Amino acid sequence: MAALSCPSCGATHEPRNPGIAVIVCDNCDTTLYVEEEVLKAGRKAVVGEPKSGMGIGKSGRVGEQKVDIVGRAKFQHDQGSWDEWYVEFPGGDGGWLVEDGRSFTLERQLDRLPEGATPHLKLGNIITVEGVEYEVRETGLATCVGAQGQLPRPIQPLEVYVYVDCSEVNGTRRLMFEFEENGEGEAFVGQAVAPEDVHIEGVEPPPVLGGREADTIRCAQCASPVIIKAQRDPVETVSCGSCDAVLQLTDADNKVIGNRGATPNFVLEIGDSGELQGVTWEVVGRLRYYEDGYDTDEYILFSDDDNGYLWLEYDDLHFIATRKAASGPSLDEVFSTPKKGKVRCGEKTYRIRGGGVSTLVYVDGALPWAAHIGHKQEYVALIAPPKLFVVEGGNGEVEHYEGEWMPSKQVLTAFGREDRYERPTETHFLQPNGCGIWVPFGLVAILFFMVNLCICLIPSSSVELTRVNVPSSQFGQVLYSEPFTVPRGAKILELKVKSDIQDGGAYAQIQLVPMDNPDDTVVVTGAEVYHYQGYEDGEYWQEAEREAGGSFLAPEAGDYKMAVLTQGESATTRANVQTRLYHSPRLIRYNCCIGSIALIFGMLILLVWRSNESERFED
Amino acid sequence: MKTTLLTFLGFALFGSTTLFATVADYQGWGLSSETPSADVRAGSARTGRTIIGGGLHGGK
Repeated sequence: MAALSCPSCGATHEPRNPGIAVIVCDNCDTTLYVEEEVLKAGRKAVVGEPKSGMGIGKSGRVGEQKVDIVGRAKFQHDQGSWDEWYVEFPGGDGGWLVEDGRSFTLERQLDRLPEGATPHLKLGNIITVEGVEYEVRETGLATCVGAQGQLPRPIQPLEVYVYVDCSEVNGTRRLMFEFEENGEGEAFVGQAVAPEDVHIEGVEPPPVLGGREADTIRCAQCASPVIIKAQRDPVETVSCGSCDAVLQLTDADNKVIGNRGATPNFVLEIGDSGELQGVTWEVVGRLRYYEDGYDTDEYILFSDDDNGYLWLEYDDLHFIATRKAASGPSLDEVFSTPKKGKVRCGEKTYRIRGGGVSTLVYVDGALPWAAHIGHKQEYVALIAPPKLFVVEGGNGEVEHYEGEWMPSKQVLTAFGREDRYERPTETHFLQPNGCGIWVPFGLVAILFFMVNLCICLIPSSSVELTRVNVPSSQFGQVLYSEPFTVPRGAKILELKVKSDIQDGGAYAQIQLVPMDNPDDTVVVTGAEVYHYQGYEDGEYWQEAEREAGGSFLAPEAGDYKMAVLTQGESATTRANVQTRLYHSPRLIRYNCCIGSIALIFGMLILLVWRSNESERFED
Repeated sequence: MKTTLLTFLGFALFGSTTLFATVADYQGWGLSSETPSADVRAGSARTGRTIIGGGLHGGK
């Protein structure tokens, strides 16, 4: 294309491609609009140099794609700012590399707005684009600070836009809308890019976004110097050490956004350093939240070694280490699922524990976001002990965090503050179940209960060897059975006595007499049967056991006969008595006993474990 | 590690006791031999008499 002249200063500019709509004059900072191959002057806007070190004319790679940086638009909102870098790919196609703090997204512009896309979208609304479900995670107003280089969009410096950021449900794809005041808008889809995958010349991977390396500012309230150490992300909130001002940093200055009041008793101090999860962290910020009479402290940890930030929550003398999650479930699923219901968060399934609203009541240190005292945030906690997943909303933004319970003694020792350790008085809902290690033992016990039960239930039919029926007319006499054989290998014999006795007791004694030595007796045993009845206080009662018996060791194999003598409780007792002798292959009393013990052990362990698990969901 | 140890302990404890119980139930361990005393063996069966109840009863 032909070179075009800046109507303000006369500098010449050559659009890189026919799609370029805006050229920012690098000589006079005027925003120029390309209209019918003529440049028309718009507003002047100075956006300043980006802290990341990226810039117009630089080249590099984003993931596997080569890019040339052609233009830049900078937007500002209440919580901070972001840059949109217009990049060209080798084939001439263009895209947008959105840089928001430490986060990068590589996007392409959609030809038209998808169905349902309006400036009035709310958090949690679902938009489907190219078969992918996106959920609105952030909305708000942003002002275009200005631009640099060449852009394919008619950016208006100082214009206010409605922005709607969406994320793929349980995924890392992004969808973004920017609407002008007249409702017209543009849509972009893309994919989050890890900072270490962004390699731009002159920018050391990963880009250093700290910017304010050990900057010193003057407190807007008391003018005392405030030293700000560099962090990975630009510091946006800092507390003054001389007064209790909480300051929000802007590119040019700082302003007071609150007063933090008296410092609570924190267990960690700003600047404390310690090793957790194999990473050395430094405490850079402290926050206290209030909810329903309870305070929860939050320590913001920062690591120089490209590990970013760790949120260390101190709740009821327990620590939970959390980090931002790359993806999360939809708000609709989280809010429509009942307590204890399952929700998939990324690759893991959690259960809803509950939610609430907490209020920020104290902040100090230096934080990479604007922390306003009094700010309320709504949250829903999902648990998969010892893991935690939190869906947090507030200020028109939804964020996801995933964390893990950590023993407080371990954390405090890591930071050299073991003298501040207090033994927790209550078990935390994320703490490993104290009964957990016994669960396999309990399951083994249940397994062996079933093994013993099966052994008991295996049929083992007894074989009747002989019987003697004693009629009442012969009660009291000794009667003999027909000869019978105790088989070889028989271990156990069983006597069963049955009677129709009424109003009295009887004892049936048996003796086994060897056929080859009828003068001997090798076994004497017996069983008692009885029946009593009567009236007491006008009510009938009866007590009876008309069947009795018992097992005994079998004598040596051989031929025997059984002698039966029945004897009554009184001389007048008479009854029909049947005595039978069986050979039993086995008993089940020991297996019953072991099975019962195993069942009691197993059930006890599982019940305690279950009880502990249920308590996790109690407030 | 503790879990593995306790699992192993469970198998060892309940496995061995189940084995013992099964053998004991097959062998009739713990049962009385019901061996008669010398007095009885001396001839009560031969004579058809017993000592139950402290009295003597005639028999067939």
